[in-house]
Amino acid sequence: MSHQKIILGLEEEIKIFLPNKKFIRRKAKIDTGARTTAIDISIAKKIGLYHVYEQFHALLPKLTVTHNNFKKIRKLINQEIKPQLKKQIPNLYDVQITPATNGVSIRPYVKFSYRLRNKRLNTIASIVDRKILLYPVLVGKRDMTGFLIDPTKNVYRTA
Amino acid sequence: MRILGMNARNLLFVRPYNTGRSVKLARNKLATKRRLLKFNLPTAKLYGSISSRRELFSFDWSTLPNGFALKPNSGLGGNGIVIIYGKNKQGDWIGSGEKTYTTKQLITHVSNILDGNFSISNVPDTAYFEERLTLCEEFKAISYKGIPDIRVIIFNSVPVMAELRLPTKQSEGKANLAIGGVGVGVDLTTGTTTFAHAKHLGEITLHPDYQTALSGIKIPHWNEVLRIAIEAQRAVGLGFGGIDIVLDKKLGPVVLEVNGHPGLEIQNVNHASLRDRLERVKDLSITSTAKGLAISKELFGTHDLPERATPILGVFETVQVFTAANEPQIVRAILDTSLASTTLTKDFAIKLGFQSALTALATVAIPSTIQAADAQQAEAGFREIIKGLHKDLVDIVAVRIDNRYVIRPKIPLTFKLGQQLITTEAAIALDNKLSHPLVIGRKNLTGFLINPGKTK
Repeated sequence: MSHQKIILGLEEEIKIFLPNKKFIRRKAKIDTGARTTAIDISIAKKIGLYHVYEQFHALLPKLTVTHNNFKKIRKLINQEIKPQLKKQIPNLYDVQITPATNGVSIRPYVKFSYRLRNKRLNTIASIVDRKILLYPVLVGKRDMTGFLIDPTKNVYRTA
Repeated sequence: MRILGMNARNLLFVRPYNTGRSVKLARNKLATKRRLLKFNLPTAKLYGSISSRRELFSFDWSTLPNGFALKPNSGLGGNGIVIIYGKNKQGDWIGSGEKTYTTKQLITHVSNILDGNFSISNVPDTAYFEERLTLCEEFKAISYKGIPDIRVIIFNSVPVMAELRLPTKQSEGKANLAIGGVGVGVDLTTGTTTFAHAKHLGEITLHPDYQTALSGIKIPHWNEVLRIAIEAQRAVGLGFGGIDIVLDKKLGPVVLEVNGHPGLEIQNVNHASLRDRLERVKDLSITSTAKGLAISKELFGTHDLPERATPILGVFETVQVFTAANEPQIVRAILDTSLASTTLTKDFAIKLGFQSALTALATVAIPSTIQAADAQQAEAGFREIIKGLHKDLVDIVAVRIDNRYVIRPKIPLTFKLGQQLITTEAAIALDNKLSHPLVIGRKNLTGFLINPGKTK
């Protein structure tokens, strides 16, 4: 029954599990336009995975990606760069290239577990510098299955 | 359930309660209009009338405003009505369906009305010009071309039953049930629609042309509609009558006409017997409009209406978008809550026929990105520049993407999402950098729930 599904607003508080069995609460942005969840560097530091972000950007070869050579670069990343980086960086789960609105970006993914309402989600998240953005965590639609979203509920903060 | 038939209606209710004088007055639309004005009730403004050939040939057509409705005084079923929307450059009148009329053609039409071509039993008639009413926003998604009207049956100053009548393609944009319009029952307490019925389709739940839901629509100004209906009945002096009310965009409820022999198909769409209801209010003594209204709501309103379920959408939806020329086009769109306004790519905007607006915009030098500090100033500046540049360029906005801003012009856009017709101002991404040609923003997602697990 669809009635029993929990209805999320656009802003939800989540509990992020830390390695020391404690947790922190953070406000997250529910965004149906995003596929996967993204976390800020500050969260990565808390869960002890900041080194992934640091090493990733140190080791990643310089690539100029445009919308034209996107598919070629993606093939290169999947076949060569990803296996190499995974060997070099512990806890790096995946490397993905995403065509975002602000241009194409290559992002490191790590394992990430948190609680959204009544559901514990053991999922993956990309580490991004979200310092200038309002929410340290963005929940993508991959983590929203089983929920319903009401776009008029808990609307985003504007400043 | 005892359905009220035509004979019972005439013998038990029309004859005893409607005097000959009042029925005669109701049939004469001009006289009804004068009577309603005397009682300060809202009606469409009268611009002029023609009752003889001499008047017709001396009539000054330049006194008419650009938009008006030409009607026969004792017309039946909407026949002989001509709606004029404006004048073109040649000075011809523009009618509905992009039909044009020269003044000579209108004179011929008035002449036909005077001959009684459209009147009851073809007796000579009067033609009159009145204000053209406009469709209010709430009914846009359920009316094909014309304007819907609300029929309220009043007996002994108590609203007994109500019905919303919708124009369809079959009825050629007329809110007339006999030629294929859709009738929708209305709950008297809340003014929300209940069951729908069309002559050629039987019981229906969706509008035959737009596939929009017909139940659960809340009629605006409902108490005002009922109050005006009661007072119109009292003004005309009918004991038992049907009042037709139109909701105008600017004027609100306006009395269109008053009927001494109201139709009986209203019983089908309300799933109720008119006879039972009429007999219940027959012997009451009603002294004021407020009392009539209160009794009606208490006796005939259903208090436990089923709640209309909120439609659930997936993240990706197939949407019907209307082009600048109002042709439907199917497109796969993404529902993105992080965007406020619905946005489309430049390429898709061109495909929809907004090329001329974009060409007009090309004269303005718009930078690809703007620093956050300058965003507000730039937005205001461009808004000033695009004013009057092109009729489709309605606004311009600065949209934040990470720490920078991009400038996006806005155009009017109509699309159908989850059986609801949405009219909005959509932004154009000039750099074409969107994951889908159409991205629906959260402003247009009110009234929906999104299920991210829904894949179809």
